[in-house]
Amino acid sequence: MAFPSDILGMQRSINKMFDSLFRGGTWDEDVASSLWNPPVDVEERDQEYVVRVELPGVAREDVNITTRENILTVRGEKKQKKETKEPNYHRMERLYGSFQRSFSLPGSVKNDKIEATFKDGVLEVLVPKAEEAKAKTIEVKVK
Amino acid sequence: MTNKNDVTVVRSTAELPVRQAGREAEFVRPSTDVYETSEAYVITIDMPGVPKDAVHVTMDQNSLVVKGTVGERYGEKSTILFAELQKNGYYRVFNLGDGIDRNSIDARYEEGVLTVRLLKKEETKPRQIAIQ
Repeated sequence: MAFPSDILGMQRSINKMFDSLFRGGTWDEDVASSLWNPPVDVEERDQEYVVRVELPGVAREDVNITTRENILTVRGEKKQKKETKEPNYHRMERLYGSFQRSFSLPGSVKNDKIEATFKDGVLEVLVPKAEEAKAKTIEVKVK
Repeated sequence: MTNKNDVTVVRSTAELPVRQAGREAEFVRPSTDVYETSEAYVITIDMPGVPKDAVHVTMDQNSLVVKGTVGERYGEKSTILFAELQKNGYYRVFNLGDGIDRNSIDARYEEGVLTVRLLKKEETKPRQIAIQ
């Protein structure tokens, strides 16, 4: 789908602004031009963080998850599947191509214990918290 | 789209025929591709987060209605730090032209994508005309 490039440019700068404000992840300027950003949820539970990414129609082998300290990056590619070689498109609203999302989780995590599954087009990444990040209740005695 | 055999997308959630209550009032219009082959129209709809049994496809004489409710996903005592995913569901109506065979429609749902295949009527398929 062809968008005027100024709209895409505007979208990119807004995405970039949001990323630098809210996510600690850094945005690679060179690859950014061809990327789209799937929606993300981050849920914090007692023992773990659950990161969910909307990736309908994306094959599991086309998704790559990496971590560096407490920064989690999900990248990959959504490929177009069609039943003929020359389909006549009437409407094309779904996004295809490479995607990338990066964000920093609030506390330290166990990088080697991360697990991911796909459920109804949503990627679910379970990131266990490191011991020091788990909430500790300290009883304060009042004299 | 002037061809009367087209599958046209004419209504969206904002123009629901009946006022919806609760979660359904928040349903959004899902991203959709529509393409045509010599045999059929194929509609592909992204509905991430909807379990298979919560996808409903209904058809009457003139339209195909697609609806899906997103499943529960959060734990009871958790904190949501970031919430961009669709929370409620999807709703979209497609108007069907005369060229579609109402008796041969099939729908498949996998990986959060609904694919509906609408076969063309025999008389609307492209034909090779023999030159005398």
